[in-house]
Amino acid sequence: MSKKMIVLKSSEGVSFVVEEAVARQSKIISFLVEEFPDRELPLTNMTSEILRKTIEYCKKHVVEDDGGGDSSSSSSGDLKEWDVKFVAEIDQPRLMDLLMAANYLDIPSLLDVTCQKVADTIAACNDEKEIRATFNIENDFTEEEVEAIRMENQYPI
Amino acid sequence: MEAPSSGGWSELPVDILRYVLERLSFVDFHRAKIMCSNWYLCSKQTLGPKRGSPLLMLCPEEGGCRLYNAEEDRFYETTSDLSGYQFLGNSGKWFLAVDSRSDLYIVDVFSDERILLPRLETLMGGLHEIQRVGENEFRENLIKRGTAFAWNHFTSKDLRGLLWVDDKNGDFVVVWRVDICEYLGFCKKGDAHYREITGRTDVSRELRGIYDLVLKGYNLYLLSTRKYVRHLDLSGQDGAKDVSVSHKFPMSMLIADQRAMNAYKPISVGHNIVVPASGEPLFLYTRAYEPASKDLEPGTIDTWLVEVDDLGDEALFFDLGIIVPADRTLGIEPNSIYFTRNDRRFNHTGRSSPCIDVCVYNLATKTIKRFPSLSSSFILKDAMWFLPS
Repeated sequence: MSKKMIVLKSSEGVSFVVEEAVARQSKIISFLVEEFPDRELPLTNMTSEILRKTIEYCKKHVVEDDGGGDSSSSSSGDLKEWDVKFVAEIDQPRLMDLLMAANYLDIPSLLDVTCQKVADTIAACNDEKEIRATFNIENDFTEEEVEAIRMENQYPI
Repeated sequence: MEAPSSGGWSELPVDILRYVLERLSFVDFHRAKIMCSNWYLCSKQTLGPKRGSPLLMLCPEEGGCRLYNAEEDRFYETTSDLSGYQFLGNSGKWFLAVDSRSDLYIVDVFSDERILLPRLETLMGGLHEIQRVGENEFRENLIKRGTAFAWNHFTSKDLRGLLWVDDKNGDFVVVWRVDICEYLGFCKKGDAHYREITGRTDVSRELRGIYDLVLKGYNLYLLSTRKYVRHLDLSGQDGAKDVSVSHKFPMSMLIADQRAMNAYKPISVGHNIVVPASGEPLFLYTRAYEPASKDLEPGTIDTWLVEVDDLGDEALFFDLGIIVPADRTLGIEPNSIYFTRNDRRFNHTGRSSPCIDVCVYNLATKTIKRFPSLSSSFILKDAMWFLPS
């Protein structure tokens, strides 16, 4: 049985042909495929690079039902390791794009690993200055405001 | 199909930012929230950082009680003034406390909620009767054949106590004893009086005596004089049910380290039981000595612990008598003992005031971590590690 393929189109107009099972990990695509079968799906806010990355992730995480038995090639341990490597290779600006893509396409597991990567990056910073520099966040507080936030000295619960 | 375009990390959509903030440890969460106003506003909408980092309840000689977060090296004020209390036991955010009039309470350190408990005099169902003879003084009578014998005098200073609160439904168990006495009082939520558990009568020989006690849920573990563990189930309606299995610790522990004992003046000695996350209670033997070295300033007291096994990836909270899994994001260090004092549950040395040494002892590296900002800020009359729930 040949696998059903669908076409996703990036903001640059590049078409990606992917197996439906792979693309269906996105809840949004899953919905669109049912609503508009046999149509090319334009993802106008996703660059080819990010779309390629997202597809790469989905391909690795697809669990195929046909072919009998457990045909997913990776054990959960391997998959975790692969995820760690996958997010480690992504630089800061692209991490944000991927995070947004995961959110937009509604792929919970990808959102999970990308958010965790952001949290780990924050945790790896030694101080507030380093977090600001790493994420290029401009401090829009006045000194008094920062002081006031710091003085919220009731135990935060 | 359009989605909002991204405008840098500070303009991350609230939903996503919330996912991120919820994954941060306590310290990182509070760092992240002052990055910019967007992140700050978002931090207000999240559940907050992972809770449960070990905290210290500090009772300084002067001034009100404070909470200390060792991971942040930062002090917090408690919501209500708790300076009048002496703390006996803890469970999550709840403390078992006794006030200046010897009334017992359960207090929430993060709010001003407190629950008044029955008075000590309500103890019944056993061999003893407690009589209040002063604001802060009691007489304990031994009831025998209908006659009461005056037996012992005690004050709230002699009280020891344990607490367990069920976070889900607010049920609780309170256990108290008068130091060194061989009976206990306990009550549960809704009880109007304490029920007595005797340590001598109606107990098989090897389970007699109460050396140490640990409460975990409705399970009360007592260390008997002969170093057996007596296990009582307090969950039933009809009082304590003995569910002990023969579980004895080796006596040889007690004569260990005799040479060191002869060479130094002991400050405190502890024979304790501690209860791991699962399985049988463990025996813990601790000693603290005054240093013999003349190099140290007179009056300096250094303590150390001996005869300890490996705790692996777990941490022992000595004040609570429990062992919990280590957790790096919460700052619970593996293979470590969180220590403040040796006599919280049983005063083995008879010292009138506790010798307080707030530290975390790492069993693998045999190093003691102390907290300089504590000693530079306060003279402590008491301190207790706890795990807020």
